[in-house]
Amino acid sequence: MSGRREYSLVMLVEDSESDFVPYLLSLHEYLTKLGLDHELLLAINGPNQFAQKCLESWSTETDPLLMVELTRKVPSGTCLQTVMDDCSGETLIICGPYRQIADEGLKALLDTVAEGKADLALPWRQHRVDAAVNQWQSRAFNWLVRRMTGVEYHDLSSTLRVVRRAVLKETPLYGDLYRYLPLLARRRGFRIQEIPAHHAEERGRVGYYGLREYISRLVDLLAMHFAFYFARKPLRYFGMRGILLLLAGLCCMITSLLMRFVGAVTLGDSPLLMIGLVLILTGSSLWGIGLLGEILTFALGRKHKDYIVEKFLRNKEEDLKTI
Amino acid sequence: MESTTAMNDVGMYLSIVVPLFNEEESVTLLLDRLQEVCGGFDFNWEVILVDDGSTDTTWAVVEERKQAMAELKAIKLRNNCGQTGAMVAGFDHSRGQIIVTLDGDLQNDPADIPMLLAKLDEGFDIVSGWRKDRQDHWSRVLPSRIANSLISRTTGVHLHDYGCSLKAYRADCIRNLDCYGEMHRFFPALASMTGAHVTEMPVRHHSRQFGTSKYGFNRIFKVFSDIFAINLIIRFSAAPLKGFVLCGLPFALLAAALGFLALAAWGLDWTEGKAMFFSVGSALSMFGLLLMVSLGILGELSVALSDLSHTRLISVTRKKRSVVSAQQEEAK
Repeated sequence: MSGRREYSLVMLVEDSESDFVPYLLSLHEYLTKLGLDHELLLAINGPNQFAQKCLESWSTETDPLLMVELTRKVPSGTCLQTVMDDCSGETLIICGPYRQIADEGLKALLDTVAEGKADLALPWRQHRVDAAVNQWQSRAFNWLVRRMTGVEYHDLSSTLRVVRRAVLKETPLYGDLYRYLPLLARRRGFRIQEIPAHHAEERGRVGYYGLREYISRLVDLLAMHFAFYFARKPLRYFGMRGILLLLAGLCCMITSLLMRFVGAVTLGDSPLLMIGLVLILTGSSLWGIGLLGEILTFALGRKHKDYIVEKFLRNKEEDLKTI
Repeated sequence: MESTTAMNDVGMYLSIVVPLFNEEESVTLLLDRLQEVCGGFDFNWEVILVDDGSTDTTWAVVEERKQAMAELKAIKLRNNCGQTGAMVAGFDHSRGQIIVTLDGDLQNDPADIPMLLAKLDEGFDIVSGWRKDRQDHWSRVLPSRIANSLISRTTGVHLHDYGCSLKAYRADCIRNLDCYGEMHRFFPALASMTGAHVTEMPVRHHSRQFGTSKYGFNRIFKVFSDIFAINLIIRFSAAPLKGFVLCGLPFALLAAALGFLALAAWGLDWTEGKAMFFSVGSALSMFGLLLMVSLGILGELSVALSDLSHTRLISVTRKKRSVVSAQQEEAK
């Protein structure tokens, strides 16, 4: 593809057993109808015979489509970063393999970014049509995200995002953190807007996911919590918890010694001394890990600036001098 | 993103760095006071206002003021990154040989700047303000005094008021520190790592006229945690294994003592419960020691993988000083 486009439509396809081509085509037609200069990019995450089969009917001559197929499946954040180099659009429309919101909702997202009201817009699905159990899981997940990061978004579960290229360029995105892109981008000072949109369709899994999926999401959330509050101050996170355990351990030990001297229980017969020792050991370990975190941050991370300059006012002659 | 322009401009002597967060009411008064005080200087000076992601009209006020004030430079940060990040942004974009920092809420008095500069001229690298007659509530003053005493004792840099933002630095001492997080309180202690000569002098302090304090009570706990972190960094950042071995020493002593008791218990036929208890206790303590040593080795690894700039700070600055003193002796 040559030249810069206004928009890149990036469809992320992974483990899809349903035909994504009609949705891709309808999005392409809708963007054409809106008169938006755009390119199509299909990111197939890992070998996918079914995806190849779906594309057999696609006419690349009339509708140019760039397909990037990764040779092995990687986490979604990594997949997006990998295909970023192949996009030329100033704004990226990133979506999953099936429609989640109505076209009007997509238009609202596009307008929000185009008008400069936000650098990243995401939908907040209203009048949801998916199964009640999925809705409850989604609500619980988003509530937990709000509690652990303090950021008020209601629907991080949807895959659709309209995002300026600069956001993806400047926001470190790795692993499975694509879901949390709005939170990460917000931390970097980008403006994020969640726009209510009519939920059109849901073809995702119905019911409960595997245990692995829940654990994976919780671990990601823990990573986000740490990144939000303690990334530059690991000792605050580990140290406080370590001190509490140390104090609890000391209390146990003192109590067991007191019991020994009062004569109620001999040291060997009471589990308190051993519990105290284990608590002290655990507390010290947490404390030590916090200290190691501080060393790592200082030795490896201090060249990384905390600040991001948006505007710089200075005299014109200084500009000339700098040039 | 703007590129940083930090450099010593031979023509620029003084850079005044002021971080701002929601200070729309104070900023005009502050600039008036700065112009009043610095207008009489016979050297070049500049003010660098750093808007740390304000949500009020602070930036609009600054932009308007820029039209009429040539000495003013202003940086708007996209994210609210805290006072340290804002100050570092100011340092990175400053050009003066001397950098003075002060709060944007008018609690520091710009009239103290000439005194700080005079003190620097006596041969110091950093002059820290000391709010001797502090106009804050005791609930802020008391924890601050305890924290200052702790920082002074543990870092060996004795100052009464680490929290006072009004400080003057020789630019070389502060620009290369690459501070992050919430280290601004510890700038003098960190700079002392590089061999900087630090002193303090009493400065005026006014109670806050506008807005609300950005500090809460929970900050005290954070500051105490930071004190430990900064101590570790100052003492052991170049050799972390030593620090961790020191932390593991109590476990070593405990393991030895409990191990001795376990041997005695087995040898002298004490009850089986006691023998088991001492053996397990000794093993757990040994595990604690091993864990600390392992963490220390990981620390050493991270230092080895870093650019080692933090381990070179001390020697580099001292070398620089010796060159200067040799030149001075030659001149004599």
